[in-house]
Amino acid sequence: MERLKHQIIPYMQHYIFPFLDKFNQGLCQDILNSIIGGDGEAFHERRITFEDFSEGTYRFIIGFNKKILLANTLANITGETFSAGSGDVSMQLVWLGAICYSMQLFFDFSGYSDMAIGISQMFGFGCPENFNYPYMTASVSGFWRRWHITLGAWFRDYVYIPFGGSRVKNKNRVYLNLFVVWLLTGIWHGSSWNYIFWGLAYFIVIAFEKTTGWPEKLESRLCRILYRIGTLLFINFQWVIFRADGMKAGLMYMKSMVWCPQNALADARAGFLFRDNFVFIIAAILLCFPIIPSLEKYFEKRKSTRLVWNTVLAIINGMLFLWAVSLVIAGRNNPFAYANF
Amino acid sequence: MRYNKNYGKILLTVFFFIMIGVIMAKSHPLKICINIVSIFKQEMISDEKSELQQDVTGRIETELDKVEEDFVENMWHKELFLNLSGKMARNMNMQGFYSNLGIYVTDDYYIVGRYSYTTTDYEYEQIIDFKDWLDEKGINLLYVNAPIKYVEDELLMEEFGVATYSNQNADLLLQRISDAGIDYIDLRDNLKEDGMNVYDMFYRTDHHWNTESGLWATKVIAEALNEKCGYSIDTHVYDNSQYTFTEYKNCWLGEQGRKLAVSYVGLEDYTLIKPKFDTDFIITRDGSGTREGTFDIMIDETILKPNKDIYDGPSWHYTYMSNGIHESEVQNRNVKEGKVLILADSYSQVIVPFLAIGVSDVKTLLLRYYEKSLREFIETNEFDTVIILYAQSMIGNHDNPASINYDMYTFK
Repeated sequence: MERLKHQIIPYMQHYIFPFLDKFNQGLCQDILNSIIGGDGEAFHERRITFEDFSEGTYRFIIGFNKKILLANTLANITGETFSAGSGDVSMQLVWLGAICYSMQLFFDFSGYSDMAIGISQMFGFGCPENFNYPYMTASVSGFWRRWHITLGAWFRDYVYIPFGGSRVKNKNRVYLNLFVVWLLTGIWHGSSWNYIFWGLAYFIVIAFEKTTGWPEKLESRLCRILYRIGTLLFINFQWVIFRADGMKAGLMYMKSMVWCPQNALADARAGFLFRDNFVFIIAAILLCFPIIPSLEKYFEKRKSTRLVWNTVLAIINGMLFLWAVSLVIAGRNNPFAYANF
Repeated sequence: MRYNKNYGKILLTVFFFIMIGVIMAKSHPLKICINIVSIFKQEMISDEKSELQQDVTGRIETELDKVEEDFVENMWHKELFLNLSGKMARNMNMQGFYSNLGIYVTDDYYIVGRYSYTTTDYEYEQIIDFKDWLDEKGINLLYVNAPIKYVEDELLMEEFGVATYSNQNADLLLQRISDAGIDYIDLRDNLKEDGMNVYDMFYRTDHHWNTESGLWATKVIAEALNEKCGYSIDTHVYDNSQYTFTEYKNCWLGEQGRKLAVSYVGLEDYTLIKPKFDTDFIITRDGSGTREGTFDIMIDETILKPNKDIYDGPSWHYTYMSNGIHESEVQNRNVKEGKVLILADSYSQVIVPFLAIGVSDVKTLLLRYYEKSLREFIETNEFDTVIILYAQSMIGNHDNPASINYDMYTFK
């Protein structure tokens, strides 16, 4: 009781309560900013223009296409591989599932973000970008500046910085702050041990990068390339833990990725799934790179090429949208007597 | 925000909102919104903690789910979208496009299904118990195993890398009942003996066998009734020369094909088979009354509309006995012997009419729909033979309580 009175309560008064106050204020202001796109004055100046409306609609269509054509198709592969028993898999199959899940999650989440950003833009509200080609990252720290950007920014602004961030006198305190952020990030994603493990694994690697200064301090280009590959592999393994039905399932899956007994049937299945979804898998891989923005930059230079490029891109997106709608309809189409068989 | 005018995006925006407008006009979003508002109103005004109140979230989710269902059902020219989806799948050669439903498409656009392993314990125990009871009553039992669309499970393993067990399940069950001394016909053996190709016996886009297979199978069953149950059916009555065959080419889409779309798998052929000789039948079915006439009263030719309503029209497989075979009775005034009960599935739509040509009285039950006592029904009707005629894919359904075919092997 005495300890409570003399140590814990003052600690809470000095650190926790101010943090909670600031958290509350910041959260309210953030919501207000998100809704009205700024302060009260800016709200009154907000205008809905047809350009914004068409840009927003276009963004919505792109998000819808990503979600239906890429994410939902890849989900068929990951659903199968992650639900297979340990005796029914091979290394080929589990790697296919893991890579497809990394892409499925990206296109699913970024697709929804695009739709939300597009709808907001249609009505004159600006929403921050949430993804910036995350798999182009050179480091794990860099990944979280490209993936779910708003979440990272929120934890930075309302947890990391109020706790002192990097500007603390005791350098060990930085690691404690990082630990808290990543523990909370894991818990934020779900109340399960695999999410906590997932968050803390990021803490370990990010702390490592902070300590060593890698990959920026790596002088050799080869080393930086290898580090980038290692980063992508780490992220891929992390998504396996994230997707699995619990810690044990995640570790079993990862074990199969590293070593798995020969299974000819599973290999045949992996080969079939890859062939059957080849177009989607290749398209997903390519779209993880900023190919479209690069082409856009190239064609925007001249008016004539800009017009052709914009028109062709709009037609392609329109056709993809029709295809995506057809998949939604086909997915819901249940011929009346089929179930009775 | 300032942009250079992007006419492509502007046109796409206009197109998008025209589509939304058409969908909204044809579907019922306003009605669904009113339903959601009324759920909220009920929640706010109700003082009692009722089950309804506690399930507000569930009810709203149900209403929101209806939005997608409503949108799909009322989509303007839905079949165009289905065909677009099918065309793209075909162009990309996506044979496992609906593998999540357990269906695959071979290189010949022949749709096949995947089936799980089962121990066959339930089916075996039920058949043995049923046989013992029938023996006490002096009633014959004939078990007929009808094939599925492939006779070797290796087909799916080699082409799609998936394990399927229907043929293995059937082999196991038939071995077990054979060891127990129960008479059976495995039509897979008969089709091999007759040099037939199983791929020619089934529709490409439907899970049922075709009418020619129905006639052929009926002849095999009639021969078995003669050999094993002491009947004296003139099996020449089932020779192809005794029938007219009217062929319809590329005219309808099977039930499996309606999921994949006609642009993927194409249309089916159909053969209408009618006897050349005189026939005289009485058909009785609960709810449909009694009809008398020739073999033609068992055929509903209004179903045969080539290339019309290929997605929404009735399946041509149900041209024979279109009112249903469950709880039906077909009496043949030209035959004096034989009173048979068929415990059937939908394969028997093309068996019952032909079997009734050689047997005096054919009654049929589909146990998935029958809730009364089967044994009381048998005793009351004094059958001399019970035929269990199931597609071998029925084996194993009792492992899944949610299956509509859960009770097909419950012979109580």
